[in-house]
Amino acid sequence: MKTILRRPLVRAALFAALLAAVVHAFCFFNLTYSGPSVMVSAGSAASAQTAAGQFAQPIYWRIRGSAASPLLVGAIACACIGLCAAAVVRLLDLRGLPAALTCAALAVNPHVTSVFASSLHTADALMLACALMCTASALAMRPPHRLCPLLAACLAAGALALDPTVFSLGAALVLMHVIACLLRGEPVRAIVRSAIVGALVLLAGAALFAAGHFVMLRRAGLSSSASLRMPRGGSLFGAWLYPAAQLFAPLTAYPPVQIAVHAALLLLALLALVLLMKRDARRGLAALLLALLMPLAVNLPVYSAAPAAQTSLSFALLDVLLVMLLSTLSLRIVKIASAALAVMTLGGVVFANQVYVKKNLEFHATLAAMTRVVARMEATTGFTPGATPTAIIGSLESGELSVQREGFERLSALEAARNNYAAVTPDDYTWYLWDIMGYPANIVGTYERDQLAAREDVAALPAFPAEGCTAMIDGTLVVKLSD
Amino acid sequence: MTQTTKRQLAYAVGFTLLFTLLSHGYRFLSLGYSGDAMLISQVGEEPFQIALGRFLQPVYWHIRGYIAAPLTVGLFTAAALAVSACIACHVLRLRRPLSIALLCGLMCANETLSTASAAYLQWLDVYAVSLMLCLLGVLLSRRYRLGWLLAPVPFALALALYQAYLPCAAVLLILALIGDLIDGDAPGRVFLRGVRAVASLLLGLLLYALMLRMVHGALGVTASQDYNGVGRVAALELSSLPGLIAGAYAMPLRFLFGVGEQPPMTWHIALLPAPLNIALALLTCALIAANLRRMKLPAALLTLLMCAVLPLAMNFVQVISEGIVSGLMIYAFFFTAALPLMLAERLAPVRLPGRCVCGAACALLALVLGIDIAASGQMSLKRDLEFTATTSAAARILDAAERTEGYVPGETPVLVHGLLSSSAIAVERPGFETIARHQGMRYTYAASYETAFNWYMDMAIAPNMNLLPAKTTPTDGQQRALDAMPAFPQPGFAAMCDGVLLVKLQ
Repeated sequence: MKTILRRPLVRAALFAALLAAVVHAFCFFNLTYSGPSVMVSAGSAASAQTAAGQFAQPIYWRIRGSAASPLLVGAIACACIGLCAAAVVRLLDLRGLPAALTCAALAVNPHVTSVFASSLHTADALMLACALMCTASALAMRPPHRLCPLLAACLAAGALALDPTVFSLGAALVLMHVIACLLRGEPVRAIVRSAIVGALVLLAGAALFAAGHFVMLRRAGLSSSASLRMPRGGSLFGAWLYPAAQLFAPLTAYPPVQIAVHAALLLLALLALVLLMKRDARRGLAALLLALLMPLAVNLPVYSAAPAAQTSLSFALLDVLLVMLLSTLSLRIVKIASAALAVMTLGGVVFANQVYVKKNLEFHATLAAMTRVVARMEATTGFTPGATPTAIIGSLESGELSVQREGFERLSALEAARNNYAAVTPDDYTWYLWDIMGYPANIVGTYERDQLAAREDVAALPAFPAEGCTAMIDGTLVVKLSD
Repeated sequence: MTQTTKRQLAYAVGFTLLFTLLSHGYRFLSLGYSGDAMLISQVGEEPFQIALGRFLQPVYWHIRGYIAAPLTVGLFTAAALAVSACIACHVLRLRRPLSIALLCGLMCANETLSTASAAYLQWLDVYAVSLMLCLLGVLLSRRYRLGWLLAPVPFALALALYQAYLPCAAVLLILALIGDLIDGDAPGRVFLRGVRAVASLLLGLLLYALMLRMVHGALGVTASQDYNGVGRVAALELSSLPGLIAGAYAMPLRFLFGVGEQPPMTWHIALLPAPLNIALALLTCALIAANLRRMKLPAALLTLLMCAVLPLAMNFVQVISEGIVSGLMIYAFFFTAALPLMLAERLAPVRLPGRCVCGAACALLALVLGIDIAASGQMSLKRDLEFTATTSAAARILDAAERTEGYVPGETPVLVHGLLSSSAIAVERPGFETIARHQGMRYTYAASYETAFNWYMDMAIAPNMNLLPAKTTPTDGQQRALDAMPAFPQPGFAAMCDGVLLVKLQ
């Protein structure tokens, strides 16, 4: 046992998994379902997931179970974060402090917080996708066996089938591996060869994913709802700038510290590259160019049904890159940088837990509000629970009652923490009533709801909480939550 | 650092984390805000804390975060307690895992921290950091030759966070001096160390007073005259001092041993039964006697003198607060449990009767620890249930408010009269009656009092309600309407009057 625990990869995996488990524990022991995660039973959206290119998710639910139990989701997600950390540490051949900081960067970052805060029902699947992609990259570019790249391609395809947006994670890891090799002074031919293998594995994985997606769509008789979407930032320059700007975004409890630390680390990383150029001009220049390409690699266009997310796990690799570059400088600088990054991690821990508290409060607030809404529904003449078709127009979020909690304003920097109620979109109410409240609501489809919303008599109804916000119209109970 | 010290510190950290998890784990992983803890976000609270003399708290909030997230508070608390436990074990030279485990357990799970965790979550980590700074001062003064001149800095910083933990430093210093005497140090040298320790504590108080005056002067804040403020310290009359000192000396004895018919504290009843504390005190006396037999007369007399001073050292903060003491200010009462442990550790190698006494003392302390851990979990559960019950009651109150003709959410001023905790639906949960007698635990709803009701509405469920400030006096017309209205939960407990929505809870 002791021998196993001494292995760097095992230690990296355990450290990252334990850190993630401790930091995000509040989310795993409380009802923090919010936004899309009010659909507690993730398998309910199997068709939508298949159509969106996440066709491995319904298969995964059969193993995990459709209902997203927070503790189970947390345990699997933390194990996956540990796997990510081990794979990245192996791929980049990191040891000591840089390895520990990499683990911390992967366990505590805005992406992980955002996933747990808004997509708890699928968080383990999303983290599994990241873990598979990281493992695929490590197996492809640092293969313990020559057949490993083939396995890596399959793993990459599996990762994309769980979450197609992890492609940029794979691309960024290829780039980081090349930079790491350049910094270590490995032969150029070996670097080029492993980079080509890495890129080919990624492309092969993408091809397998595309084939699998096509087959699954045909089998299910669906059409794809996903398309290639622009990354955050819009233009090429904007896409390059966006992840770099995120380094300075106030997604922490200590925004000024984050800005100062990242600015200092960026300058030191630049100094490290300049020193490398002095020693070996060509290598240094190549490393500089690749490092400059990194923000673009972590923010590639995404194949998704939804617009690109605010953050991604690949963004956390920018911190890992800074650590990697700094580790070429003196040990004292590495230690100082490590202390600074540890403070930033602490800021991330505080921020994440504030977000989870807000989510839990939202959950209670939504329960209180929806209890009143259901009471109004039940008081409407002619309404029979489970039988009467019900159309919910608008949402609490855009209603009269929606107000930002006092003292929680700073959390709005994270898009996943902007809402004031757990159910955000009109579609969420179906899942909220069924999965959270266990209420047999016969909610009408989107088309019918939109038709009703366009009617003048519905437009004339007052919105909740005013009296008369519910009415029977042509046999359908209309509940108006907002104008 | 020697291998033994490393092992001692590793045990201390491990046991502290374990007992923190056992006693407060539920609280750190649940919402459970209630009473004072309903102030989830402390934005805007800075002037109040500065006026109370706790001017370092707003600085600390920048690190811990203004929103008191239970797990963050828990992590900071556990870290500070771990450091404190390491210092205490090191200063008292505890080596046996059992002694270390019991000391760490009693430092994490005692009624002060249990009530703080359940009812005053925002300040739990503040208390733990204050304790850590106090013990750090002790370590400095013990470890370095001129450390007693450096120690006032952490003492002053600890006072600037929360004033009631300095007695822990005094207790630890006295226990360490007793340990020195038992270990054979010359009484003269120990006495000199004692004088330096007292000077160090006094310098800490002086430094704090200077810093406080500067901060209040710079920010234009007046010291609070509230019951827990520092404003009245300056007005302390010399003639009242003997009485205050006598009261402070007697308080720990009255509290722990149940002396007198009336409970010594208004808001807090002792968690541990008095016979248990008496038995523990008797065993401690036996351990002292056993140790005294091995000492020379001057050392024995000095040891007895220091034991006699202990009750005052535990509670001298009561003199500063002009006789007021609460359940949150008595951590040092329980920290003194380190004395039997320290004495038992030094008696361990001797013959059978002594070992039996040591074993009995450790068994009693283990029982105390068990009671503390169980009570802590129950208190946290009570607050969590209160939060859930309040959500349910608030939904009904809001429903009635929103259905009142003329009410516009966010615009109509709302005057809430009375408390949910005193309303017709307030009842103590069966089986929770004994817990309800501890500090901050007597309420049955999270929105326990007027201000807490507003905090609950603004921070917990945020229903866009324009609540008038707590304790707003109704106009004559509104008062007449309130008198005529039925109280919650009867129909008509919410009504419009002069453009204001009146909600009568009690």
